[in-house]
Amino acid sequence: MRHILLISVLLVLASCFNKGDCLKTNTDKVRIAFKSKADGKNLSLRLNSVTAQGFPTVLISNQDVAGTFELRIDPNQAFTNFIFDYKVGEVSDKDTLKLTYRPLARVPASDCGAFLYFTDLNYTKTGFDSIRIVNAQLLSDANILNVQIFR
Amino acid sequence: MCRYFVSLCLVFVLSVAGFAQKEKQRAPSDTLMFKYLPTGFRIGTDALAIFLSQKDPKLKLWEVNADLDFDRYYLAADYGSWSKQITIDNSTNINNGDYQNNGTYYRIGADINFLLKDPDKNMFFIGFRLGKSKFDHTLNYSMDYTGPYATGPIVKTVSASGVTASWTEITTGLRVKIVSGFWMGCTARLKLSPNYENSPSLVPYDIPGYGLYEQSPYWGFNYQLFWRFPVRKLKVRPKEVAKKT
Repeated sequence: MRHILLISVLLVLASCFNKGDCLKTNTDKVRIAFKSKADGKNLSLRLNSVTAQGFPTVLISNQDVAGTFELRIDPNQAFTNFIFDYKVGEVSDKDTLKLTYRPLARVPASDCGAFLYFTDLNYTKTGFDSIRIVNAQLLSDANILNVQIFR
Repeated sequence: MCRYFVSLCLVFVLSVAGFAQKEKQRAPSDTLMFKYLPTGFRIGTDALAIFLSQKDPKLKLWEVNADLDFDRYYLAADYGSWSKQITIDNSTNINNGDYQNNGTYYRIGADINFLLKDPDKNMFFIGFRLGKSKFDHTLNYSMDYTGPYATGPIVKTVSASGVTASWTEITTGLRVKIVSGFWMGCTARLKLSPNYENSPSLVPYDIPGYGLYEQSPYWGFNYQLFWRFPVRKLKVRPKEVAKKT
C-alpha cells in the first residue's frame, strides 16, 4: 500500500505542472541564405528586388546580403512564388523560387487566441542551381534557417 | 486550487489505504471456486458529465462505463459522446473566434482491485486505459494582418471531419456499494501521449474523451454511478467446505 500511496501522490503532483501558456513561436517569415556552390560558404550578393508573383509590393529592394535574409510568405495560400532580381559580383541574374507550405491553425489555450503556423516547407519550381530545405517549419527563432540557395 | 486538490487526494488515498488494511485482516482465506470466472458486470454513467452538460449550454457530454470482474482484476470499458464550443480570446481580450468539436470516444483497459476479497465488490483500484476518439472540429478566427499580401484582418474557417485521436491513461479510484446492486465511485485519470490524425490544417484544441490536446499529462475526473448485474453466485471449493466442517 505504501507504493500505491507514493504513486498516487506523484500522479496528483504531476497535475500541478500542466498549465498551458501563450508562448507564440509562429512566424510568416522564411529565412533564406545564399551559399556558394563551390565551397558552401555564405555568398555576398546584391538583391535588386524580390517580389511575389501576383502581388505589386516589392518585398526587398536594393539590399546587400552577406548572410541570411527573411521573406514573408502569403498566409492565405499554400504557396508563394518569389521572383529574385540579383547581382553577384558584376553578373546580374533573375530566378524564381516557388515555396510550398502547409498552414496549420492552432489554439494553445482559449485565452491565447488562434495562431497560424506554417509547416512542411518545400519547393516545387526554381531557376537556381540547387536548393536545400534546412528546416521545414517557420518559427520565430531568428537562429533557425529554413532554405539554403546554392549558386 | 491545485493545493486543495492535492490535499483532498491525499486524504482520499490515506483513508482508502487504511480501509484496505482492515479488509485484508478481516477477509477469510481464499474460498472461491472458479476464481477467474466473472461473477457479474457493472454498468454506470458519469454523473459529473451530466451535471456539466446541464450547467453549460455550450457543452454536451455523456459517458457510459462498464466493468467485468475476474477475481481482483477488472476489464473496464467506457463509451462517451462529446460536443463542445468555446470562444477564443487573444491576450488583448478581443474576441478572435470560436472552436467547436463533436464526436464520440471509447476507452478500454483493466483495473487491479486492492481491496482483496471484499464480499461487496468495493474497490480501490489502479489501472490503465487506451482511449480512442473520432470527431469533427471547426475553427473560425480572425487575425490582424499587416503585410504585402493583404490589408486588414485574415478571416478564416478551418475544419476537419473524421479526425481520429488516441491516448493512454493511468487510472485510480474507488467503487463503494451504497445499497444492494448500486455502487458509487470516482475515477481520477492521468492522461498521456495524445496524438491525432486526419486534421492537416487544424490542431485540435480539445480531443473528446481526452481534453485539452496541448496539455500532456492532463487530468480527468469522473464521478460514477454503477448498477451491478450478477451472472453467477460465488461457490465454495469442496476442499474448503471439508475443512470448515
